[in-house]
Amino acid sequence: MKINRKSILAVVVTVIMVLSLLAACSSQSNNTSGTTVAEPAAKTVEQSTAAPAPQKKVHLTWLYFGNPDEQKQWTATAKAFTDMQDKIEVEYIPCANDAYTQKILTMFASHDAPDTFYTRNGETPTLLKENKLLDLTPFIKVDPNFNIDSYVNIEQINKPFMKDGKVFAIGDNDNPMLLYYNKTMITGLGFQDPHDMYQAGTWTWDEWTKIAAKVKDSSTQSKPIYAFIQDAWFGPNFLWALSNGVGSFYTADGKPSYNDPKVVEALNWIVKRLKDKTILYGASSGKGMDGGQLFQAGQIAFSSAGRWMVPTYKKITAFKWDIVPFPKGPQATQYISYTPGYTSFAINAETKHTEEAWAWFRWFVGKDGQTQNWGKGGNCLPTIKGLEQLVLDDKAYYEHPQTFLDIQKVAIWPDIPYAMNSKEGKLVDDAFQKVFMLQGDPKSTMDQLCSDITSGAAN
Amino acid sequence: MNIKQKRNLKKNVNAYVLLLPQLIGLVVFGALPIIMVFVISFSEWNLIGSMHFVGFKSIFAELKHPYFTKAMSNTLVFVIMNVPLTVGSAFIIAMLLNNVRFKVLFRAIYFMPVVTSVVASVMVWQWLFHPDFGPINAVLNGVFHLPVKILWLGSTKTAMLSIVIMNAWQTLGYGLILFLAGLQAVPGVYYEAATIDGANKWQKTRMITVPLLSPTTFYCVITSIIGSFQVFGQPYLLTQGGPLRSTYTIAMHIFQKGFTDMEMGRACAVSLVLFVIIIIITGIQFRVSKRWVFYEGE
Repeated sequence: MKINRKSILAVVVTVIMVLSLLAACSSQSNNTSGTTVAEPAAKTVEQSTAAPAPQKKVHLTWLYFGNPDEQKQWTATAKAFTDMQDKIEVEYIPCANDAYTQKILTMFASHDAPDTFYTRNGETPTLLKENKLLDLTPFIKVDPNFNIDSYVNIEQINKPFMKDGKVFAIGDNDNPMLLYYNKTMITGLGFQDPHDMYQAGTWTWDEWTKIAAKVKDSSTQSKPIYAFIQDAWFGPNFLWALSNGVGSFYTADGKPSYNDPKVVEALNWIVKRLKDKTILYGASSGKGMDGGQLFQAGQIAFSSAGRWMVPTYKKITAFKWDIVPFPKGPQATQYISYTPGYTSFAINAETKHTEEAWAWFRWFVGKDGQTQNWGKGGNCLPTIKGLEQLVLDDKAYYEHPQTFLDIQKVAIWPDIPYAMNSKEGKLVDDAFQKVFMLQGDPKSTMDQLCSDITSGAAN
Repeated sequence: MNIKQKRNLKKNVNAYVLLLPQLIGLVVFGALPIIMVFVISFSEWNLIGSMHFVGFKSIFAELKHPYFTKAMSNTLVFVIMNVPLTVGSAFIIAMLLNNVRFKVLFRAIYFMPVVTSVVASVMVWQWLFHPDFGPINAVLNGVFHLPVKILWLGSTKTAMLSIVIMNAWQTLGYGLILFLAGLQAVPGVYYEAATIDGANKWQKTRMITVPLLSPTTFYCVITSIIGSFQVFGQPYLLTQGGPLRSTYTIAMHIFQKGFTDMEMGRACAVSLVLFVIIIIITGIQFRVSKRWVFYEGE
């Protein structure tokens, strides 16, 4: 190449562009969130001759999803732990809800996974299979400051994370679903308060149907009112069946039992309500028929959710509302609930700081961490005993927050195979949707579903 | 290398050096991922474990899978509905806008949906399609007095049509700009000659405009078909593939396989199948184009 001004310019420009490209692609293992770690300032003479600097803290990373307000809360949590001791510094890595599974698996694939993180339905099966979750059992056994029996209903909440007698994650939050109801609307129509009926044990499908029918009759074109929107996601799918005494959707040997007579009875009951339009199905009503939004607007009598809606509903001033479990079906002997999906705290099996990660983990899922996270108007139930007051403080907004605590003790995990196998979960979702959209008879649809699951159609 | 080749190389080396960063980017972010898709489609991989070679097993399993066949049939329906609607609308609107005042303003208005974020558009269209409060049903009931309450996004019969309408609204601006540019390029002498020969407007359009716009039409059709096969944003955000998988497309199936089921091998296998289908259809179009695409000077 002839050396002239043009060629020198070409080389310089090329080098700058290549270096920029390499810099943009370079790994930033401590800066996944985009924040930079500040370099320590140069020492002054006074600093040089002062007492020796404290030992550098072990740096741990923590990945958790949340909306912008929640992310502020998690940042505060990480800072609170970092400030209260001098050995560990926790850096929170933010992530949006929708992108969490993709983000964490991509981080693992690029060997850049955080030291601690939450694990949910989507990623737990893969992480367990690939041994990416640290076995916490040895720590639980020897640490005198950790007592697994101090957790509420731990056998149910932690079911997905117990494998071969080992514990791989601990849930620090729980959210059993029940019904929020518009007390002003229902009592205004001449009915007894549903919570009083629940206390008396007379809160049944029949009573619910009477209320729903009257609510529907009171609807006008200018102000449409609905009794209930069956939201189109897997959470509400099972609730009516569970309220009819269904304990599980699988037999003891793991075979699907979605065609159990109690399930079919519940689905037939819902189909009748869908046909007489006392229940509307969210998916067939289109977007915008969200139960939560309509409840806030005072346009539905009942809305199903966990405690996650309390921060939103507590802003309601137009009417009084309260909570009550789902009514009992004819086959049920008690009121029941379940927590759809799970989010539990885990440690990366490949972390270089196992002891420090355990110390942070123990604090986070313990009383102090749960108070930090779920106090001040939190959106779920703590899982550790002794923090009931965090929930009872909700009394400022509705009358019976104790109901959340009562139902938490009896909430079940009926859908373990479904929760751990996303492909099978899709078959289940499709089958329920077919029934709720009145395009399939409940009995034959559930029979087909069981047959498809057994034959491995999901694969 | 002979002297002539050496001289050419010396002359061009500056250009190659300046092109190098772009070429590196194309290889690293373009060619390499495509090669990886080919490799992974013959393997089983869950993103974090190790990859196992399985040959054609993933491809054959997917071709038989009911979700794949459902996604493919939905995508074909979308292509058949979307392409004529989008390209046809763009052509008609371009014809109408060709000789009007404030053409630049209209061009900007029609192009705005193209540059608008899909997420923002979806939020607006969710409310447009609302069965009770949406303006579309309100107009049908109030203005046209049709006693209907169409569950646009909530019915298996109308959900895909809703996606097509939204997609056509969002993308026709691109074709419109191309057609307008093509119309400007049609020599005026042909129209003058036709006028002298007594041709009416329809005859001029049919005999002059349409044939001379055929290269532009061909380009719009090709890109529209390729884009329609890859539709993802609107069904994912508007309906999540429902109700009852009536808007579940091939791109959604790839996403679900890869990032929900953690089966990257199967996701890449589906991508490979889609790639082959698009290549075949594009090849057929190029062959057939010789009969109806006329380039000036031919």
